[in-house]
Amino acid sequence: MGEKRDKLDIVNDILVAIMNKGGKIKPTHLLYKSNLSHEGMKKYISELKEKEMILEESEEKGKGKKFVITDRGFKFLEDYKKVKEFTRSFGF
Amino acid sequence: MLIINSGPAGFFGLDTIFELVAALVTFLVSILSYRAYKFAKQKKFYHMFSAFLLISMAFALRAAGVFLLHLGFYERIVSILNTFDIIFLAQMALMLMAYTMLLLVSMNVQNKRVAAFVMTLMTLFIVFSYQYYLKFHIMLFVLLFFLTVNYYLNFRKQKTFNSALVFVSFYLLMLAQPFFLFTVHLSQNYYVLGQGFHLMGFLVLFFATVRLLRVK
Repeated sequence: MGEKRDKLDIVNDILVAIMNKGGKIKPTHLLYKSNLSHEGMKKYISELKEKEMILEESEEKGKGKKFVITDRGFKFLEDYKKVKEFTRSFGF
Repeated sequence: MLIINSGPAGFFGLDTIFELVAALVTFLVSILSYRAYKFAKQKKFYHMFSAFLLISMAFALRAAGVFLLHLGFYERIVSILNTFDIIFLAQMALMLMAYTMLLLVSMNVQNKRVAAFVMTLMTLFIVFSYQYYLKFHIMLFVLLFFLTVNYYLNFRKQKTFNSALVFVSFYLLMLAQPFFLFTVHLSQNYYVLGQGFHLMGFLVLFFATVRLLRVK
């Protein structure tokens, strides 16, 4: 069994899931990829939108919406990688 | 007692450069820790920042003490020597506090009272005792031994080059301590060996820090 994810790990997983889909992802795909409950994902999405790490983009009629990663989202991924490497090096 | 000049005469001053290197490297690690704290808002990073900053201050303080002696103001030298023990005691307290904090973070001890108790006990034990120079290096050896064990276990778990570098750097710092002890009863030349291991340890830590700064 893997280690318990903390908040930063979950945010990272969400942003990585969006990035791996070319920067845009449908909510249903994100729910599947992020391994969160519906309520949990709603909470994180709302926080990420508030922090301008993702945007909600409406597609053409009938095709629903998509979440798009922003520059701030990419910056988070960069910083997360650095902190993770730092944590691994000193082991906490 | 002039402990600051505990190596051979020819080495006096050169150790200041070594200590400035140590101060710089530990300051860099403290910056990295602070950046991690600003990003993650987790106390462990703040404690690590504090620990490395204290180590950096301790080395800078000692280097400043040696520099004062080097200035050669003979009329002032006596007063400088008189204050030397204060410099050494301050350096010792900072170092012990820092390495204990680092060990507590590394062992994931979160109980503040336990942490404060351990730190107070150790500082009082050494500062208010005879032969504190010896006890300081023995205690530093013990702290570095446990830190090295933790960093070795971390390296076994992570298997990354950087975790290996951190382990090796603390291993070298630990190896330096017995040589500082031998300086007292055997030969002053051991001081040079101790400083050599110290410098190698901090250079390895510097390499690890540079690699962390370059993560993209």
